[in-house]
Order: sequence, then structure tokens, then C-alpha cells
Amino acid sequence: MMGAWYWFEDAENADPIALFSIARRIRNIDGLPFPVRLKPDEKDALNRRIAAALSQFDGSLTATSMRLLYPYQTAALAERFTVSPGFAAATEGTALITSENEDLSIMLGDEDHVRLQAVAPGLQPEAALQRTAPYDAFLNRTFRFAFDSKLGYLNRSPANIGTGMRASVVLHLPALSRAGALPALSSAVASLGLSIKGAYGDGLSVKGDLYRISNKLTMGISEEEAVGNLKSMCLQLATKERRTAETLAADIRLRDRIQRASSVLAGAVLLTTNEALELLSLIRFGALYGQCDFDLSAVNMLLITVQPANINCLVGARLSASERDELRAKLVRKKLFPAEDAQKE
Amino acid sequence: MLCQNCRTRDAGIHLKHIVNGEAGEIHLCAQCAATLGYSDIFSGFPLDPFHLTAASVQMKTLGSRQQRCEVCGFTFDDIARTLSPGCPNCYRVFRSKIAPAIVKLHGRTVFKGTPPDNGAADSAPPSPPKTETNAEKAAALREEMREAVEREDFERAGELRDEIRRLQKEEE
Repeated sequence: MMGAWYWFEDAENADPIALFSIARRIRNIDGLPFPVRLKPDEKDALNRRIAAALSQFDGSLTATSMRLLYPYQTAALAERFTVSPGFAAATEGTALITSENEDLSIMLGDEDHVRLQAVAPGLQPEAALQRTAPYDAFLNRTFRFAFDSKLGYLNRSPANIGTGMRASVVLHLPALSRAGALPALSSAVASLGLSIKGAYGDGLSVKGDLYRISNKLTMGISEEEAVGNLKSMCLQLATKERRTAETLAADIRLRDRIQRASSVLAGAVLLTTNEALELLSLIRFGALYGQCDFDLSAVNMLLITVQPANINCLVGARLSASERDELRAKLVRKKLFPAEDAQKE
Repeated sequence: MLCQNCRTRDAGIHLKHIVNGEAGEIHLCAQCAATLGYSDIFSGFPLDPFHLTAASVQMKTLGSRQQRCEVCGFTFDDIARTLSPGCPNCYRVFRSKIAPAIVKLHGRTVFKGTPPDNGAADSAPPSPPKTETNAEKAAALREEMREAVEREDFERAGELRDEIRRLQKEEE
């Protein structure tokens, strides 16, 4: 995996607060039952037809039947946001089409026939949305998506009809998080038709102070308006985060914790996922406010790749928890302390 | 009639339901209906207890007429049972029944986004089966037959049954 180039290794567009933006278009083919009512072989046949058409349209795309992947590979795709957790959990009749660096992913045969997704670094939900547009138009020309002038795109869940567009931004909010300010902000977020939750796992717990802000409404609002609301809320949160950070940064206990985090990351032999995320969040905060010197894009990349299934992917096998913890500690040292790491080897 | 849950208050809500082909009836007061979750029969289609009686009556008549989506064969009962439409066309067939759920979810029912770039505003459901008129006729006759049975006019009901069978044979 380390030879490969993923979208999150883009070092040029590292944003202080917004890690990346995701946009998804949910589509279904008219005249066909939703995937849940198709037999596995019917789903496979449909997926093959869509994949074959797409390969004609863009020869650089890769198609995989999800059944052929090991569970850790599927989990790793969800960890790096290439597929949704729901898609990763589906057991049969699903296929995935991706671009080389996985910034574009097309999920087939889960809840809906087609889910087109793109990721862009930083606060660029409109760029992510734009990235999916030609594939959306091509698939519509070829397969004719179900659409109604009053209800919009007719998707399986009534919550997804209308534009069928879901956009989200993952924000790193260590200061607001520490100040306990987020519960109070969530009503402001909701008033714009948006939601805020933990970016990792089931969204209920928050790891690494990473939050995902998403649009909830898909009716009575255009794609541009929804993306605009999302962006302006993210900018407001970023301003609040910076303001809170400036007051927090002087706190000597926090400075102490940041320096300790840096030392632990440099010297630890074993690192669990949760510990790594917590320490990475601290040094990211420190790096932004001049308390330690780390490359932001390296930290951003680690926030994704320290997750368990992606650690398995480094060696292409399912490791034990302690083997993973050892490899995770090595990966962190290699990326954050390349000079010291080279001396040790 | 007393609520069969608390057995103290009057049952104002009478639900007919079919589970695995077996019909049953539930009689509840408004409070128990709410606590037992009957005010939210299926997610995304929330109904409050006050409207529940009307909704169940509506669903009963719908069920007897068996209006079906011509693409996937789903009835509105099927949508209620599986918590989701069977295919995109179900939204067109059961538009007015699904609309309240959409208002509840989104606060509005009007699409304001960018339509697909295929020129036409709506994508038509692809070639509806030509037996549709026969199916429609049969559905109407079935409704008539049910009414005939209700007023115990069995002679008429028998005629209608034969007519429905003839239509179904023609379809095959």
C-alpha cells in the first residue's frame, strides 16, 4: 500500500481545520426494483453492466466485486472513507469502482443501485460534487436514472429523494472539543439543515477530535444551496475553533500535554488506535499554534492510516492487535520523525 | 371498548394488521398507542395517534383494492411492511400516500435541485405492461365483489368472481 498514492497523501492542499470534503450522489435506475429486492445474481449482473459501461467511459477506473475482498480490506476502505460503513457491511451483490487514488468511488448494489462519491482535500465540497458530475451524467444517459420533476431522484429511502446529494466535511476541532462547546453549537448546525457527529466509527463517539458535518435535507433545496450552507457552517466553526484555540494555547497544562504527546509518539513501541488518534490530535493542535513542528499533511495522513484495518493493509494480512500496535508505532515514527527513525534502523 | 393494554382507558384506536398472512386487530387508547410505538408504524412515515384511525381505514381500503406498482408489484401495505418502496416507480404510484412522510422528513415536498441532463423533465417508467387495463378492470371488479359480499348479494358476487377469473385467464 505504501507505494500507492491515495487522495489523502496530497500534501499541497492541507487545510488547518478542514481535513477533507466528501460529496455523494445517490441514484437508482428506473424500471428496476431496488437492490434489496433483487437476487444476488441479478445484482451481480446489473453491477457488471454498470462497471462495463463505466470502463468504456473512463478506462482508468478499477472495478471490484466486494465479495472477493478480505474483510480487513473492506474495513480499510471504510476507514479511509472510500466507502460508507453501511456499504462495507453489506455481504453480497455489491461492487466498487474506484479511481486510481480512490478520490472517486462508485458503490453499486447496496441500498441503492448507484452511489457516486468523490473526496477532495480541505474545505471543497463543491469540488468533490463537481468531480462526480460527468460520471452521473454518463450513467444517466446510459441507464436512465429514476427522476420525477416534483420529487427529484427517486431513491430507496425517502430521506434521500430530491437531490439525492449528501455532502460532508471532516473538521478537526480540538479546541472546541476541549472547551465542551460543541453540544451548544449543534442546534445552530441543525438550524441550517445540517448534522454534526464523530467522524470515525458509528459517529456516536468522537475520536481524534474529528467531526463530520453533513447536510440532512435533500428536498426544497438545490445542491448548490446545500453545499453553500455546509461550507458557511464549516467556516463559522473554523472561526470559533481558532478563537477558542488562541485562548487555550496559552494554557500550560495543554502545552505540557502536547509535548508529552510528541514524546510518546517518538518513543512508543506499541500504540493502540485510540491512543494514536488522541496523541495525533494533540500534536496537530500544537503544530498549528507553533508549539511543535510537524508536517500537517503527514499528520492528516496518519489520522486515516493508523486505523486497524489500514495497518493490516500495510502487510496485506490480518494481524493480531499487538502486532498492529507495534506496526502502528513504527508507521508513526517513520512519518513524523524520519531522521531519528533512520538512525534507529 | 377498553384499551387492551392498560384496560383502564377507552380504546380510541383500532388497528387492523396482517402479520405473516394472519389478520389481527388491536384496540388501544391514545396514550398506550404512543408508548407502544403505534404512532410510528414505519420509520419515515410517522403518524400521530389522532390520524391513525383514518390512516388504518385508508390502508384497509387500499389493501382490498390492491393497487399495485406496475413495475415491482408492491402494494402500499408492502411499503409499510418493508419500510421502503420496492422500486423508484412506487413513489409515482403511491405519491399522495408517501407525501406526508416526505413533509415530515424534509419539511417540504418540492424538488429544487438540478434535474438530470436528458432534456425531458421526467423519466417515464419504461413500457408499462399492456395488461394494465385488464388488471385495473379486475381490481375494480374485486372491489365491487367485496361490496356485493358485504350486502350478502352472493349471486352478483359469483358473477363478478367469474368475470375476474376470465380477465385473469386473458392476461395469461
